[in-house]
Amino acid sequence: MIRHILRKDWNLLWPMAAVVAAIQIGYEWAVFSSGLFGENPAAEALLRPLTLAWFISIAALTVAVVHQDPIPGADQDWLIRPLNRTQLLLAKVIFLVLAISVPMFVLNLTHALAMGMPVAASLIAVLSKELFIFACFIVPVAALAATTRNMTELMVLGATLVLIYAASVSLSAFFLGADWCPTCHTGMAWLQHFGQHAGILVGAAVILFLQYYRRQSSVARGLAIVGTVSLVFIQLPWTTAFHIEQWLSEPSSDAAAVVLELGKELPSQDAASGRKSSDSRQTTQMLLRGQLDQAFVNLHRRARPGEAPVTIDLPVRIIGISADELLLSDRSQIQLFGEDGRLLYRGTSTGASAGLLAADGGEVPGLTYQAFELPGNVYRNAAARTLRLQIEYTLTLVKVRAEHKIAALDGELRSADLGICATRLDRNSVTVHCKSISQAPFCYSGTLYEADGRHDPEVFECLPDYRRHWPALIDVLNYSGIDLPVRDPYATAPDAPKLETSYVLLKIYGELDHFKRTLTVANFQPERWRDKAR
Amino acid sequence: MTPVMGSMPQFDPAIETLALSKTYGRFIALHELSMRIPQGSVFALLGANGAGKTTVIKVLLNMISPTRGSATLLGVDSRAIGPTILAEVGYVSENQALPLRLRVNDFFAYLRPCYAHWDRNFEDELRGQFCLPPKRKIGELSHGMRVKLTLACALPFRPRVLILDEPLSGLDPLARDEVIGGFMRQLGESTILISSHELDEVERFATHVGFLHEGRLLFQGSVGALAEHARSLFDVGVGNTVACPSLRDIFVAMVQAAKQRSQRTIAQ
Repeated sequence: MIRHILRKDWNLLWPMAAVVAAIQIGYEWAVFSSGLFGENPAAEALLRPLTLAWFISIAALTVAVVHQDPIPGADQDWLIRPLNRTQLLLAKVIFLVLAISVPMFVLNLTHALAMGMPVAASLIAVLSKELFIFACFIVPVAALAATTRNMTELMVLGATLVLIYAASVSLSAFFLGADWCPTCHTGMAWLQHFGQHAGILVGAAVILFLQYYRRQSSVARGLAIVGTVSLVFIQLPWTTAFHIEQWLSEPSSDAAAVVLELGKELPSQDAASGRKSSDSRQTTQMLLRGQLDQAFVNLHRRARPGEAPVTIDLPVRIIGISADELLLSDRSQIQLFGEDGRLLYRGTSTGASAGLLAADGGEVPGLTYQAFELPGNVYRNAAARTLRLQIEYTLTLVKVRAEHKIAALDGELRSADLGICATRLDRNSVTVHCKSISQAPFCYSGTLYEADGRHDPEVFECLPDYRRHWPALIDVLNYSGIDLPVRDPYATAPDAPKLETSYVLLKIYGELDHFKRTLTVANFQPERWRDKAR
Repeated sequence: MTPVMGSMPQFDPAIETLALSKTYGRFIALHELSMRIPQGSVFALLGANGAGKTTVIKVLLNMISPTRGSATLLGVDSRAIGPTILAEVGYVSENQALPLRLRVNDFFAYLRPCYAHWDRNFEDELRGQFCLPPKRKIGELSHGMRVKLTLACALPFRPRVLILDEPLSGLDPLARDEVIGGFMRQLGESTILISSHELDEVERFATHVGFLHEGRLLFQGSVGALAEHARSLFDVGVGNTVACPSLRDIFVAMVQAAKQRSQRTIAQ
C-alpha cells in the first residue's frame, strides 16, 4: 500500500518537489559562486531570499503531503478506506525523504566535493546534516500539520504557538531576569539546544503517534502548546551544564596550576573626561553599526547617571597559563558582601570580551580587567564602603592545537581543521576566510608576520562553543575568518609592512579543561574600580 | 423503549448498536440507541435533518468515538475496526472529503490496490453507466457527479455492507434514478444501510426501517411490521384516518406522538 499512497502523493505534489529542488540548486549555486570573499555580488544578494525560500518551500511541501490525507475531522475519505495507519505514516515519511532529503543530499555532496572537500568527511557531514534537518525541522512541521486539516488552520496554530512562545520568553525574562536562560551566550549553550531539539523531536513523534493512531487532535494541539512553553521555561541549570561539559571533556590536569588573584592597578587616566568621551564614542559607533538597543542603553546611562548600572573594572592577574594557552571565562558569578557578612548583591556576567579572559603576553603579562556591572542603587549604597567581593569563575583552558602559515596576499591554504582558506587585502586589513566541511574552530588567532620575523599584535577570535559536532542547517560548509589590521596597507611609510612577503600565522585553539576558580577581594571599594579600564 | 417489530433474524446482525450515546458538550446527538440491522436487509435510517443519522454512521465507521454504549460492524466493535473490516464496507456520503486535485482515473487507480476483490469489469461498467469523465479532476465535478463517483468507488469490490449517508440529497431526479439504480444492483449481495430524509424515495426499496428523532430511535423493524404498527398508531394514537399510510405519514405521526409524550412528561 505504501507504494500506492506514495504514487498518489507524488502525482499531486511533484511540481512542489521540483520547486524545492530548484531552490536548493539555486542556493548551492549562490554559495558556490559567492566564493570565500563574496566575489559574485549577485549570487551573494540571492542568498538571503533563497534561505527564506528554502525554509518556506520545505515546510510547505511537508505540510502539503500530510494534508493530502488530513487527520482531524470526520469526513476524510482515507478514514473509510482499508489503509493501515502505519503504512500511511510511512508513505508520508518516505515521500519527504525522497522529495526533500535525497535531492538535498545529492546537491550538498556535489557542492562539498566540487569545493575540494575530502569524500569521507563530506559524506559524514552531509548525511548528518540531512538527518538533522529531517529530525529537527521536517518531522516537527509534519507533526504540526498532522494536527490541522488545511493550511489556514496550520497558520492559525503556528501564529498561536509563536505568540505563546513570545509571551513565555517575555514572562520568563520578566520574572527570572538574566537567569531565565543560564547557558545562553556561553560555550555550553549547545547542551540546552541539544535538549531542546531532542524535546522537539520526541514531542513531534508523540504528536504523530497521537494523530495517526489515536486521532486525538485536541490532545495533540495541547501538547504542542505545552511543548512551546516548556522550550522557554525548562532551562538547563548552569551547574548541571558545567558538570556535563566537564564529564564530556577528557580528564586533564593542565588547569591545576591556574590561579586568579587581584592584579595591580595600572596608572589611571583622568577618569571623568575619559569616561565621557569613551561613552560618546561608543554610542556613536553603536549607532553607526545599527546597534540601536545598546546605543539607547548607553544614552540612558548618560542621561540618568544615578539610576544607570555602573561598570566596575577589576584588574585580575592570571598565573599558571603557558604561552600557547588561553583562558576563557564562561561565566562569573559576582557576590558582594557587606561589612557584617550580609549578601548585598549577586549578579552574573558571562565573560569579558566574548569569553577571552586572558592570554599570556600583552602590556602586562597575565593581567586582564574583569568588567561587571553593579545596579545604580547598589553602587550608591556601597561606593565608598569597604566590602568583600567574591567572584566565582567557570573557566575553560584552551591550548594551541595547530598552527598554519598562509601568505598575507592572495594566499591559499588547505588543512584538516580549517578546510580551505584564502587571504585578501580588504581596505586596511588582511582578511583570512576559510570554508570547512568539518566544524569550524571556535577559538583561533591570527598574527601578521613580516619576512624578517617582526609581527603585529596577535588578533583573537574566540566565541566559546564547546559542542562536539552540530550539523549545519542549510549550507553544509562551515565558515571561519579573521581580519588583521594593517598599519599602512599601501606601504607609503618607511616602516610599513611588506605585504607581498608577509604571511599570517594562524593558531587554532582546542579546549583542554573546564574548571572553577574563586577570586576574593577582601577590601573592595567599588568607587575605586569604577570604569577603570575605559 | 424502542418498538422492535417484525421478524428479526436470529443470526448475527450485520450492524448492531447497544445503548449507543454520543454527546457534544451538553448537546445529546444520540441517546441510548439500540439498533439491529439484519444481514442482507436494506435498512433505511430515516429522520429529519439533525436527527443523528450521520452521527450513527460515523460512529459505526470509527470516524468518531461514541460517548457511551457500543456499535458493532460485521461483528467487530466500531472502535476496533481496521483495514480488514473496511475492505468489506462501501461508503457513500454527500459530505465525503475526496482528494479534489486528483483526476477521476487516478482516484480509481489509487483505490484498486486497496481492495483485494476489486472487480475491474464492474468498475468499467459503473464508470460507463455514470459517465464519469476520466481525465477531470474530482474538484471540478458537480455534486451529482461526485456522489456517482463515490458510489462507483464503493461497489466494485462487492462490499458486504454498503452504507449510504444521504446519497440522494441535492440530486436532480435523473441523477437520483442513476444512483438508486447503482446501489440497487447490490440488493441481495450486501446489507445496505441508507440514511435519508427523503422518505418517498426510500419507500421504494427499503426492507427495514428505523425512525430517528432528536437522537432517539422511535421505531425499528421490517416494512411489514411498520404497517402493523402504523395501524395501531393511527387507530389509537393520533386519531388520523389514513387508509394506506405512507412512510411519510407514519413518520410524521410518530414524531407527533413522541412530541406529545415528551410534553406530557414535562407537564407531569
